[in-house]
Order: sequence, then structure tokens, then C-alpha cells
Amino acid sequence: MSTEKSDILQGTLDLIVLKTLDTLGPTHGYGIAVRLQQVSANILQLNQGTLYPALLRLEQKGWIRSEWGESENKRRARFYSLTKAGKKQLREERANWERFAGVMQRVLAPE
Amino acid sequence: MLRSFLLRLLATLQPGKSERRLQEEIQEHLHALAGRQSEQGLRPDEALQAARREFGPVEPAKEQYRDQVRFRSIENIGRDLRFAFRQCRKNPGFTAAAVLSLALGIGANAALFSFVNAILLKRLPVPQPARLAVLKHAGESRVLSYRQLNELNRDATEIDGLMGTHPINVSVLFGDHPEWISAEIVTGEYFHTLQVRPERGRLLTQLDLDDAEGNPTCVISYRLWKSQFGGAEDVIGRTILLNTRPYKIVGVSERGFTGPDLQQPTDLQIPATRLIDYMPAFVGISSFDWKSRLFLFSAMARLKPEATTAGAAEQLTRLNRAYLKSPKLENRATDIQLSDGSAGLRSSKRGKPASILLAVSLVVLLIACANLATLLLSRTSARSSEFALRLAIGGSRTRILAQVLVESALLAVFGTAAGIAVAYAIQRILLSFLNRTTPQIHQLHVPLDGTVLLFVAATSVVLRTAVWNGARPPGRPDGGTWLFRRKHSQRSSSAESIRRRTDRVVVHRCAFRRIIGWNATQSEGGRSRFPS
Repeated sequence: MSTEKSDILQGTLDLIVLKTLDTLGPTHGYGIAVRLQQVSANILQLNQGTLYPALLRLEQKGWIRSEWGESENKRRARFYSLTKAGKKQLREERANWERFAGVMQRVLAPE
Repeated sequence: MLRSFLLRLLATLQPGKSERRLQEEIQEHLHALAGRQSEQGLRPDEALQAARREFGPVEPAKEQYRDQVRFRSIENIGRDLRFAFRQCRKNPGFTAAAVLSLALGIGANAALFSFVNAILLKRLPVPQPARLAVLKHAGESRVLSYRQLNELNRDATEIDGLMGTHPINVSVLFGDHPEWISAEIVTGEYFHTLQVRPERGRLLTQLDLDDAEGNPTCVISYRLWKSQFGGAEDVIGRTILLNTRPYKIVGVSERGFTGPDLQQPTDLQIPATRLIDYMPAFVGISSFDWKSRLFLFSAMARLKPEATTAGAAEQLTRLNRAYLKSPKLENRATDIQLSDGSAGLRSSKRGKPASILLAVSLVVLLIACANLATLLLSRTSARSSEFALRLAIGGSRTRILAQVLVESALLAVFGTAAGIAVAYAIQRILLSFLNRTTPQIHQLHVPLDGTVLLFVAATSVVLRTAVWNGARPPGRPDGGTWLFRRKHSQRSSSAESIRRRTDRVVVHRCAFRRIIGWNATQSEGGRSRFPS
């Protein structure tokens, strides 16, 4: 396995964030970043700062909502959670991704 | 889509709110990262540094966030405007010169155009004005007699109405104070020919004319009704004193209608058969048959839809010759000619001076363009180092170009506002000059109305476009990029090209001045030919 980090594929950040929120429930930005590092075992290179514009975009589209809450170390943090529309979106994007990944697998499969 | 648009719009209106949230979230994130680092034994300052490294570039992330959360372009325009205002304050000389040349250019144009508009372009506010024709004898005379009009109207089949009118000034008593009102003496077909509708009551007909001896009636205009009678509903049936004689008001004419002469609006129509009240010297002599002998009335006919001007003129000529068979009037038995009456009675008389005015106003526009182009050229070359500095510290070209555009748009707004004031002033001066020698009854009336304001707007757009094109050096069709050349050698060559451009603009301006001068002498010589 290569030790080099790879950039997140264009357009997949939305799916990653939606899935993370679906798994973890309401989470703050830092929590999402930590979870991503754990799941990807530090392979994925994420500019953590870019998480916030992405969260905002998803919120504007109505797929997630956010509210102020208290973090585990008693500090004020903004918690994000999936909406109903977000759950539906996640199902659709997931199906899309699986179709795409299936195609890629067939393309790359050894003779 | 709509939801996201509304949210962004909302955030644009209160940028502070999203900014605070962004600040706080990133702060919190960094704090959490740093906390994890110090758990691994780093000193607090090292921990914060490590956290920043892990987080990635903060400012670009913030910018990305700001672009997503609000409409930045709206904010930018506001910022550019504020900056443009400061620029204007910083260079009062330049601002004054630019606004003044814009104001004079636009003002002179709008003033001249208001005359052209009043004289050349206006149509009578009546149904199908194009079907109206002005009657004229071949030769000099434009006037017909009362009986002549009635007989021609009775027998002509090509026309639907033939009316005669004569302007007079009437003294009207409103309460205690008398006022002079522009009025006209009209024949019975007047309102039928023009197809004016009543706003209140009814309009004059032949019956009013026939009954005028014992039962004098009149019709007032909508604006007289509003100004002198306060729009009172019971105005119908009231009696007013015209030249001390009592008349009954039977109706108010349609809103906007002020007689068939656009340059000489009237507010009152009086039956022609009451002529004795206004011309006692002629009409009072009992042996003088004024209805046949007094050739007084300017005449207009309405052609039937299927009639042609030539056909109607031919028929009217034939009828007129037959009518004037009585021996003493044979000398009047010339051809009847019809001319376009869509712009009212006096359209054809002033056409030529009006088109000269239009030409002059176009030349004035060109001069204003040239003036502004010179100004902006010198200004832009003086600011090239400022633009270079902005570029050097990371300003984007689009933003700098937008800044330049906003600045000139601001100047254009100031200039246009001042231009309207100038137009008003010039118009007053021209009008008082033109009307000084003419009796009040023939005075020119020139409104500064919507069409004129539209023209002002169009003029300023043309000026602005010309300016933007003029500010661009030759051989550089790429718009604004020349603003951004920084290197010394390039800058001097750019300065050179601007200098050459300036020379050319100066040459053009001198040429325009000559044309204007020539124009002035021409109209000076030709002034005696202009009808007043």
C-alpha cells in the first residue's frame, strides 16, 4: 500500500460529509475532520478549512441543518445533523457512487 | 436553488452574522486541534502552530466560505462606490471638470432635444392623428371663412369632419381676479373632427353654434378644470364671464387635450358665432357679412379611412371653386392643398429650424464626448501606478476594472443629474429669448417631459460608451488590460500612445469647434427666414 496521501476526489466531499453525519449523528466540524482521518487511516488528504464552505453549501441546499451546542469539553460548538432531504440525497449519491465504482472496477479489472 | 438563493440574499443583508459564525467555528476547530497536540506533550505555542499546519491555509478557506455564504459582488459594488466617492472628494478639480462637461453636454442636448421633440416629433393626443390634414389655399392664405368651412364640410364625401379655429386671448373672471386664458373660437365641427371625448359633460356641436346668440356655451380643458375649478364635479352648468359676457360651461375636454396647436395650447373653446364678443370692430357692423367675408379660421379636416390626401384635396378644390362662384370672391378660388396634420396646425412651419437644432445638438454631443475622453485619458494615465500597486499586492484585474467602471458610472450619475438642471436652465433662457419678440398668443410652449428625459438617459449612455472607447489607446482592442502594464519601459510606451491619442482627440475637438462656429454664422444669417 502506498504511503502517499491522495486528494479527495472532486465532488465526493459532499457524499463523505453526508455519510459521516448519517453514521455519527449531530457532530461539529472538528468531529467530522477527526472521523475522516480515522476512517481513511490518514490516507485522504483533506484541507480541514475547506470543510466549512462545504458544510455551508450543504446547509444552504437544505440537506443538513446546524445549531449551536456544547462540545464534549464544555465549549460552544456548531453541531451539524442530517435532514430528511439529506437522507434522501445520501441514498441517491450513494447509489450513484456505487454505479460509478462498479464501472471503474470493471474497467480496471485484470484480463 | 431558490432556497439557497434566498439564504444567500439574507446573509448578504447582514454580513456580520455569517462572519461571526465563521470566526467562531474556525477558532473552535483550531482550539480542538491544538488541544490534541498538547496532549501529546507539545508546548501551547507549538501546539497552536501544529494545529494551523493541520488545518491548512486559513484565509483561503475563509474566502471560500464568504463566497459561498453571501453574494460578494453586491458587497463589492458597495465597497467600490464608497471608494469612488472618496476618489471624487480627493480630486475635486477633476470631479468638477468631469461633472461639468457631462452636465453641459447632456444639458445642452436635452434642452435642444426638448425643442425638437416639441416641434418635430409630437403628435396630437387625439385618435388617429395621421388622418388629420391641414387645409391651405394654394398661394399664401391658410385661412377660410365660417360659411366656406360649413359648406365644404356639408358637401365633401372624402372627409369625416372639417373644422375651423382661431386663437384668441380671453379675460376670464375667477372669483374676483381676472386672468388671461389662451382660448380658441371654433366652428361646430371642431370636436367631431378631432374626435376628442368629453371628460365631463359634453362638447360643443353645431347646435351650440346655432344657439350661441341667446345661449352662449363653452368647453374648458382638463387642466383648466383642475387648476381653476379644483376639479369640482359641479363645474358643468356653471356660468363664467369671458370678456365680461356670461357663458355656460357645458363640458370638460379629454385629459391631455389642449387644442390642435401643440406649440400654443389652449384651455377654452368658444363658439365661432360669438365672434362679436372678441372682434366688435369687424363683426359689429351690421352690413358686413362676416360669415362669408371674414377669412379668419385655420382649418383641419379628418380624412375618411379609405380616402387619400390627393383625392380629398381634389374634391375640396372642386367644391371650393363652386362655392366661391359669387363674383366678389373669385380671387380666392384657388386650389385647396392638404398637408399632414398629425402634429397639429403648425407642424410644417417650424420643421426646418427644428432639424437644424437637432443637427446642432448632435454636434454638441460629439464635443462633450471628446471633452470627456481627453479628461479620462489624462486621468487614467496619471493613475497607472496606483493600479500597478493594487495588482502587486494581490488585487484581481476584474476587481480593478470594476472599480474603474463604478467610478465612471458615479461620475455619469452626477453628470446626468446636473445635466437635467442645466437643460432646464438653458430651456428657460432659450424660451424667453424666442418668446420675447412674439405676442403672447404665438408663444412657444416646450415641455420637459418623459420623452425628453428618456433622451437624456440615452444621451448619457452614449456619452459613457464613447468615453470608455475613447479612454482606450489605439491598437488595443482588449479593453482594460493596458491599465495593468507595469514595467517601466512598457509604461513609457503606453504613455507615448496615450499622448498620441490625446493629440488626435484635440484635433477632432478643434474640428468640431469649427463646425459649430460655421453653424452659428449660418443660422445667424438665416434667422430672418425663421418664422417666429
